[in-house]
Amino acid sequence: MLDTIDPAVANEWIAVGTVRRLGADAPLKPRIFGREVCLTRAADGSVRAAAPAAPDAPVHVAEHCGYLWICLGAAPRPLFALPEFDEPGRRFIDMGAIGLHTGPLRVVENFLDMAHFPYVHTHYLGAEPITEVREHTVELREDVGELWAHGCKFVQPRATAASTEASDVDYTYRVVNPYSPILYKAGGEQADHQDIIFLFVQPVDEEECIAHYGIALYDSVNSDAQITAFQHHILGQDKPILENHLFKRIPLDAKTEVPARADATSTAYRRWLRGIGLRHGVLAAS
Amino acid sequence: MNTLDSFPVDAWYPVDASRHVSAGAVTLGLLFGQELALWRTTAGQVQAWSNRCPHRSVRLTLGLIVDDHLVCRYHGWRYASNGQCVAIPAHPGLSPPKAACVRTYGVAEGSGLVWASIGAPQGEAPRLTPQATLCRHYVLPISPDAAAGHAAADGFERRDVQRFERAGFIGDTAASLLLQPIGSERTGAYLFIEQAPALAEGAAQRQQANLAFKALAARWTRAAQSVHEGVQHA
Repeated sequence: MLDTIDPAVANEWIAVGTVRRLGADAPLKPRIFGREVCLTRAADGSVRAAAPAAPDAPVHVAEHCGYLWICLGAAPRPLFALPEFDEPGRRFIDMGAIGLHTGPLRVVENFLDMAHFPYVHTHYLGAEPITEVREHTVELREDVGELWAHGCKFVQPRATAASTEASDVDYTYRVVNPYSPILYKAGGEQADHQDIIFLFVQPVDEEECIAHYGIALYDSVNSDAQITAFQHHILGQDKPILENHLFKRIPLDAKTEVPARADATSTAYRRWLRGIGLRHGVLAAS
Repeated sequence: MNTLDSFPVDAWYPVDASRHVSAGAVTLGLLFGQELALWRTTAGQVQAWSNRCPHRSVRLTLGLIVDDHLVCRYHGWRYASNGQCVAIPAHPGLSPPKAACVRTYGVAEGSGLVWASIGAPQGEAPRLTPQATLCRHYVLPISPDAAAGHAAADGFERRDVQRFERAGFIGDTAASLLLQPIGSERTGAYLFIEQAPALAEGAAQRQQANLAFKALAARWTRAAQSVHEGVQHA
């Protein structure tokens, strides 16, 4: 555990749960980067946040896109823009907070990876023999500090809760900060309104995290429970893999773990993390 | 785990009974705190690999055996018996990079055991006599040096870094004890007795040996800790 918050990410917003989970009746006490934060909701609806271990340091809190966000740094970065969230008819579903015994960066990297679809999510998000990860474009947008992957496609036997047949699905990944990936997934009910899936990772510590799982979509057929069950099935398949990395922290050197051509997004993600000098959750090269 | 003075890394140690390393599955072995993935080719040749896929470090013990290849559960990377990756499903047309190679370790099989080394052992794995019969093995929650000390105190003479002998363990029957340095506070102990020629006599002998060994294992372990039951082979 590091004594000070890693300066590489101190000014980032970290999701700690949905807005609905904080009522006036009880505080929320999430742990971020090894330290406890206490959130309370006052009678007037406002939220206060403090870190008991450092009571004089201000803890910034925000409510955005259905989630509560915390920033432990002195200069919080601007919150990401997601105008689609407020589109009329788009349903937001809180799919829960799932604890994972692995490093937070492993969870984000897994979310951005398509090569595992036929092996981990067999007959859902992929299946042999259609295992190729086709070329796609990855860019780090320096102006807003976000990593994007466009033009990703994968043939999926059963892409969503509503799917009844196989389809070649378009994916766009957007990582608004090293812990907060967003997936825009085509093939939902409305052609010009993609499903938006959140897997906001709360870095509890270097080898422990919580994944805040949510979806904002158009679906006139399935209930919240049905959609959640489908997505939980998917995440439940990732969990044993995520918890069986021999190194829970991610190595950022190029030798410990060997990338393939198909790992363009994760290679860019690791390059990004190297570029900002991140050490929390990173396995230092020996 | 720090190197132990009396258990050098550059030696052969038992990592499991042969019958536990079944074809078609990947079994976990441990030496000096390092995880090993143990598996067999279709010809039955045992392999001892570092339990880590070089792609994203996922444990190979989650993997599948397909023909003579170990397939990683995460992305389906396929490895040949020399540790080299021969196929990456995410780009079927391309050859895998040379660096995509699992670290493999020296492995041998004999006397009903799978032996491995994570160092550079001199010579071959120890051979027991043809009559030596594996009775049972335990995992003891004590350090290898402590286990060696207890064995010596209970009349087992150390013949080799991992091999101890005691004449007259059950009546006139001699016993051999093999120790596996699993971790700093964990030791595998494998008991063999010199098998009596008559079958019925042999069964009774093995049962006595198992009971005697169980009593020793219990005593060697700290009083407060429970003994992890090994598997009875006889």
